[in-house]
Amino acid sequence: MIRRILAWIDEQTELVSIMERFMREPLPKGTGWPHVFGTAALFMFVVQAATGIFLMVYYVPSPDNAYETVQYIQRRIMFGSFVRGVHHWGASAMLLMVGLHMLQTFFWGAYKPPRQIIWVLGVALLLLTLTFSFTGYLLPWDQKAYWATVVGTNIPRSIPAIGEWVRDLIRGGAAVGAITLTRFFALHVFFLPVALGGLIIFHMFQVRKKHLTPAWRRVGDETDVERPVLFYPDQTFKGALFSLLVLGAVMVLVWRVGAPIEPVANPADTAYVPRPEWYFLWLFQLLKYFPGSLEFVGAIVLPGLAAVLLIIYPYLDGNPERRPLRRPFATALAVLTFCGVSTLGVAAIVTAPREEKLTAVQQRGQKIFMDLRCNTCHGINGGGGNAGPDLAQGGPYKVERTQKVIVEPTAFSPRSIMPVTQLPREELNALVAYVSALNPHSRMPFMPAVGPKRPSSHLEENWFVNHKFEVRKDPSQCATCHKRAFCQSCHQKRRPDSHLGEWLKIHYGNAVERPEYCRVCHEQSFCDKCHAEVLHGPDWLKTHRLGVAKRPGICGQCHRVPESCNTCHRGVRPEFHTTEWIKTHGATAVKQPALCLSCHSTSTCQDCHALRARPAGVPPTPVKPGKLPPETYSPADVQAGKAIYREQCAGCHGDNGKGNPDMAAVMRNLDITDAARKRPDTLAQAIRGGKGMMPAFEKLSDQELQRLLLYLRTLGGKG
Amino acid sequence: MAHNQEVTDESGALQARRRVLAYLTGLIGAVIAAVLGIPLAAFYIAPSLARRKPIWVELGPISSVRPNEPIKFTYSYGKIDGWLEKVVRGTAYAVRTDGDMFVLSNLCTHLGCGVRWERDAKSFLCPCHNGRFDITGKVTAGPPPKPLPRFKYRVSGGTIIIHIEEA
Repeated sequence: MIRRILAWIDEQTELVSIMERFMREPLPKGTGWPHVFGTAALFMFVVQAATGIFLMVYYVPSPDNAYETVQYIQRRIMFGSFVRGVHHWGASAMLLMVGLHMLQTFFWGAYKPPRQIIWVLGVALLLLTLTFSFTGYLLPWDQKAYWATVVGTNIPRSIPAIGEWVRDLIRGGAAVGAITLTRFFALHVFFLPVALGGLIIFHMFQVRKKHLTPAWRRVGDETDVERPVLFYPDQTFKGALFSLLVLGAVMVLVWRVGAPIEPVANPADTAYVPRPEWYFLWLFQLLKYFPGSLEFVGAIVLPGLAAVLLIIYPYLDGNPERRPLRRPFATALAVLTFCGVSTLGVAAIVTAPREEKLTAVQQRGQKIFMDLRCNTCHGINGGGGNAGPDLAQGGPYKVERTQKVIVEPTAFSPRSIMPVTQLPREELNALVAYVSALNPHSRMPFMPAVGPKRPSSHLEENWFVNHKFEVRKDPSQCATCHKRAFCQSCHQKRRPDSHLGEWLKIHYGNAVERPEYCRVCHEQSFCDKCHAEVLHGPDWLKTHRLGVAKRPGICGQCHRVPESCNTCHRGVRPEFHTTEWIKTHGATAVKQPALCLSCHSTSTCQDCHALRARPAGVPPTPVKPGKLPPETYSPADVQAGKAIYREQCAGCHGDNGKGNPDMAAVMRNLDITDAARKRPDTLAQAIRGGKGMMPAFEKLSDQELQRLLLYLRTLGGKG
Repeated sequence: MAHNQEVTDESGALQARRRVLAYLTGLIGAVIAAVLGIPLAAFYIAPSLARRKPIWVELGPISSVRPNEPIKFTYSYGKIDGWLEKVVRGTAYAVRTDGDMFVLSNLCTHLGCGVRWERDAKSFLCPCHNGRFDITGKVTAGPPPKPLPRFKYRVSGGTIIIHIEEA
């Protein structure tokens, strides 16, 4: 039946006979097991293409979804981890096969005339395969993906002049991000497969055209070659069996190791140590030997020269011999290169910094850390919530202090919202051992995702702001995903009656820094209703000043100390003790000096105000202002006097010189309009030397004093 | 084809050996195809085989359903869509007629527009092509081919709970 179908197809298209002619190519004597690597490399390419196409069924090339879809493939889809595993390890296997194939063709002298172009095509295939690996790295968007790509794409930056531009071209921008991902994806699933597929066909066509190299014949001596081996079935059997073995090895790796997936890409992680795959390790190690100024040599020049040398080598090698021992230079070069690359690779593995090793107790602590979901609020070099401080940044910590914070979070920071943790002693010690040892090189333990991607979290910035309308309109929507108690677990404390004490402690920071969060549900008046009462009006001061004076820490429950206090209280420091301040506070200060004295010492007032009698024997500062007021003056002098008055005197004496009404209620003799006209000398003496409560304005110059008196004279109404 | 001599001069033993090798090659090919093909096929069709869970969604209090006056409820439920978690929303009309109570979908059976209850006309109107349904969901005018679908429902603790069949 099958034969008849094939016969019909052949009759119609001649396809079967073409294939048969192609497959039944006779191969020279000596062809056998050493020649299976090319077949295996092609086979692995087919495997990669097949698994890759199927992975694309679920994969989404976007930073928002890439990691989630890879997790989805890995965990939710039947055979997902198998398909991804084969694709992951298949890449290594393919590269290994390509490498072995190259070594074989080199030692067999297969690159020599007339087959130089086959070698050149082969080198192009190698470079494409490496590009394949590099672009494939990024797609899972995990830590390794991100950091390997950051490092890898930075290499071209060392090219003089255009380096930066080349890097940005590769990345699609200055940073590795969404655009890098989509372009690597397009390269990986379309451009490269098409290019590689096309080149493979060309490569094989050339092999078929020029036939396999007869073993150990000199160049040009290929006329009477025995060809006892048929490609099909003799050689294909060996190729198929070897391919099956390679696939088997890949599957063992998938089964025993699996395709690794690390935590989601985190550009903020400073502790991550990026390590390339094994086939790039030699380059990675090479870069270590070049100081910054020579990086260009190690990163671009040497690998570039190596690639160029590989490509043109068939045209440089004029030796017609194919036996390795009769071309010692080429053989030595190949062996040395192979050893050099291997040594670099091994050195990279050996010198890699070890992952931090946790003691058994710390490991137990780490598990408790994750079980308690400490990571919901605390990051360790990123990778956790941002409600609490990142634990890696401040560490390592003192053991006693760590323990105290865990047991009594408010011990050091009264505003801490961290829940109290009660653990058996042994578990607590383990947790403390783990947390206190955290340091800037620590990494967040890997928490595999447990479910599909959720809507953005409430802890994320602007969530409340962005969702207020939805939530307000239809709170039942929240209930579609969350249990009833979900909202209540935070929001029950927002009810006005609980809007005191503990609530303030926990939410004050949010409310001050992000008032829009409150306004999602509450009108502005909601806050004002209470907060109007706690403004520091005279009544408030009456009832609270003692508490404040005795326990200033109590203000800190709600307010930022000292900023909050200073918004008002800086007014009593001498430099702020201005007219404005006197107007609003002066009367209170006179009536209840104890208020001032709750914070200040008596001398604060006495610095300016002569509250006590001048000590006997100390004469008042003499006044020599010349003739008062002067004979000739200009209106500008009066204006200047007015300015001085407003600044220095109006606080007590009022704008009109008859006394500030508030002050007049507690002090006598504030009306100075009469004195200004009738007794300017006495007034001048009082201004310069002080009188009663009035401070001495010793620093007024004679001219200023004259101008002030001129202005005072106008206050009486007669001009 | 000078170098094809050996091919034509195959001895009987060599021919037999090559036949075996051809079969073995085919066998290896079949093994590889199976080992890769079966997982890949399963990988592809897996999501369509996922067991569907019955979805029961709370609609609203039964006390708000008055006789002969359909009342509109919107419902929503969480749904896992591949690697995403989504909220699906929908609308249903709960109706109580003499001695009978049922919950109607608001999706017109014609082309799936949302119908609305018009109190004055005492009927549901589909705004797209003027299809009309009476209070029981029966078609009274226009193109709809079938009456409005009814949800299975039960009442628990005074709340109507409807059964959603996922499309």
